[in-house]
Amino acid sequence: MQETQQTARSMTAAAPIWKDLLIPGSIMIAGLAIGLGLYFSGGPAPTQMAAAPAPAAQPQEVDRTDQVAPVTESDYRKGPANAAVTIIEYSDFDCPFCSRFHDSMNDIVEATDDVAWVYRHFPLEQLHPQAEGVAIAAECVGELAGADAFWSFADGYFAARGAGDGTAHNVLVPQLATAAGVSSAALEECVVSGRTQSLVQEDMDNAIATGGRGTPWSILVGPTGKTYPINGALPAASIEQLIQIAKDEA
Amino acid sequence: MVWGVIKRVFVRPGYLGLASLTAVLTLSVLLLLPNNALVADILVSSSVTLTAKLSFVFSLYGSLGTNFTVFSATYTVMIAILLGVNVSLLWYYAARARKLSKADRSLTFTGIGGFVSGMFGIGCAACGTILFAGLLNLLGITWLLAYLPLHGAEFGVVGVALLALTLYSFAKRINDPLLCKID
Repeated sequence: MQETQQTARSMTAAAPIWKDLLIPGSIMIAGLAIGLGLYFSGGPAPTQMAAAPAPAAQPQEVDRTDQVAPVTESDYRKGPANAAVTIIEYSDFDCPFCSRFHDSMNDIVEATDDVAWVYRHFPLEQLHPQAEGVAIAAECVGELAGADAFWSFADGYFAARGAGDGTAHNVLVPQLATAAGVSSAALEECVVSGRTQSLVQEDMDNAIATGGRGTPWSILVGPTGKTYPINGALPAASIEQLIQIAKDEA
Repeated sequence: MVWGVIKRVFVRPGYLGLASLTAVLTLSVLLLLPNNALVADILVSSSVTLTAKLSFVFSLYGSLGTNFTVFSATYTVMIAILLGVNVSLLWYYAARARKLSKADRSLTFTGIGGFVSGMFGIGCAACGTILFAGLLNLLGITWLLAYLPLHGAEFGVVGVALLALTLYSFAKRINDPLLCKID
């Protein structure tokens, strides 16, 4: 009887359940806060870009997409130069999500005549060690045979990788270059000279400067010049809606 | 045993609702977080109609199919569901036990660890678009990515395992009758 009373007393005196949950709850909130803090702080430069010059610590909340390098004639572009909306994509040839986004963008620019798509490089060295080499080769193809050849190479590369083609880089790259009209010897001479490396590096630097943290990283520029950051491979439906929103906001 | 407990708990609409809400919120955070700036910009814009805003936000749920591999999409959804079920079971158990023991609290921590680990895995799987990249860089161990066979998806798998473990343990505790043990 006495034991029963003691037990009852101890249960009555028990701290409310919310007190028990206070510590784990606090840790969860703290963990999320740290995680979100890391995310919003812009963290350090993208993990994969350790070799690239990191921008000075700038908070992610500050939209840096207005630092996007202006589109010039030297950019590879699909769609009209005077399009109402331009989407500038920073991409990695060996990123599977870039492959999906590439398909979506091809569909979008084919379906409409007031959207332009600009392709720039953002190879993620630590995840895809060969991607920078492919980007350099792609620039060589463009330099040697023109914009159509560049797009032929890029479309062919993403189509192959997107379909799960595991052909080695040193076989697939010359194969696609040849199909685009560039001989293996000319391609090799260009790649070895390293003259297109600075173009790739400029794109990478601009991707980081505008807030890119992974690939595909894109910036939509609306009719008024307003910029919209696009992180990752958004579905085509989202991109189409965003294009319409950008037009409506003009 | 686990299935029996889940049926017993979720026959009550309140617990089912709590689990569903937690799972949907978790999934929403994981899918929308990479584009939070864009989403916020559009939601506050006065020149975008409410229909266009909602339509755009809902369309982003499609990124589960474009921004994830089948593998990472699977464990992302599993993490959201498991977290929802865990929260409901914890609530149910806490309401019955009135006080959590030290072991119960450890279990809760394990569940939290599972969720956090899962988030890191999700970030990395999408080419470093969420949390993982920043954290690794902060810790100065970016090289780790190159050596992980699944490039960080391991964290997602660990997250699922930890959440499954806590679910099992909570179910076991719920199944056990409440006894006043004699020390």
